[in-house]
Amino acid sequence: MKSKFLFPTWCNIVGYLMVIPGFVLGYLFIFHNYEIPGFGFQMREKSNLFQNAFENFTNELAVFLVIVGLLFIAFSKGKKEDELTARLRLNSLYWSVMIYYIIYNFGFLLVNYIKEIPFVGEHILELNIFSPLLIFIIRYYYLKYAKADSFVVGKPKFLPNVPFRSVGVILTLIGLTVFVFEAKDNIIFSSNDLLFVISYFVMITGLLVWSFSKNKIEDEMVMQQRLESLQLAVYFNYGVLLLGTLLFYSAFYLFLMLYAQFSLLVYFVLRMEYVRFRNNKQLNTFEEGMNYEK
Amino acid sequence: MKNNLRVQRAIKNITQAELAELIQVSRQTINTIESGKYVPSTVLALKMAKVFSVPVEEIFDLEEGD
Repeated sequence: MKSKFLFPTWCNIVGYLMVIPGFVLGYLFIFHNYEIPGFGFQMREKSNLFQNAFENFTNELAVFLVIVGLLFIAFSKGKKEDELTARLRLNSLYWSVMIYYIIYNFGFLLVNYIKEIPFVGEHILELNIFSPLLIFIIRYYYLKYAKADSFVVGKPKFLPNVPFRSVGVILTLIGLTVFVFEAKDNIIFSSNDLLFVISYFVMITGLLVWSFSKNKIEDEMVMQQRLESLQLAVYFNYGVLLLGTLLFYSAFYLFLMLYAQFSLLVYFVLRMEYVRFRNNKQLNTFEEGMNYEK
Repeated sequence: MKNNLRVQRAIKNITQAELAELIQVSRQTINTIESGKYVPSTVLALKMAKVFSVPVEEIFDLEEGD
């Protein structure tokens, strides 16, 4: 099994060259309201509540640099890519996505307390967007260099199909329905609204359980498809986020950021459903090629 | 990598579904292996070799570019 969908090796360095200025610019923008003078253009005639007349693109630039930079660092080919690095990469991705969303989900329950933390509390949305990538990078390179000789690349563990997959789907749908219903009435998300907090927690838990439980037919090929789907979901998630960063502003961008908190799991789950559908279709349309039926 | 899994199945006269059952994978996987789109793990290849009572090299062979 070789790694698929990787950027060329030189992208690694480009990634660092993008990420460092990106973080610096982001820091300056958030904490010092710094905007590159004149970096933008007149979008519309007059300002209104949701949109400025003159849009400055400093924050978009910062987001773009950070996300693309991290993607480059995370997914560029190493000097020597082989089976082992491929397995290591996919295992790290699986681990980091799972750990990140578990922490995020439980952290969300404590959102009232987290809001008090000086730096993290005010900028939790922005921090969450790129944290999965950061955790993956740290995990993967740590395993590759520090633990190269001793780490046992085992099979990633998933929850058994029988109760968990259905449980995951049901929880997701219930959580989503209640959440949307609550959000319709409260545009300003109030973490004092218990139902809102719980439904969001239920939805994310459902997505997590759904993502990390096996299909009815789960053998080694499906496992490989699963891990590749995770990689594709990461790409797609950040691609959409980048597009959204360029196309949406102000209040609409806020909604995008909120959605981007969990959209990675959504794409992964949808992609796996598509893979499952495609596998089944393959069975039905390609009936035993040459006939060796008894 | 090329394989003659289909030929081996014909010799032993078993269907994809039966082979899948014997080595505990899905029929889709057997199908994808035969069409050359999926390379099985070592364990799976050895299991197949055992089913057909042949050495692994008689089922799977390296080609140029592997």
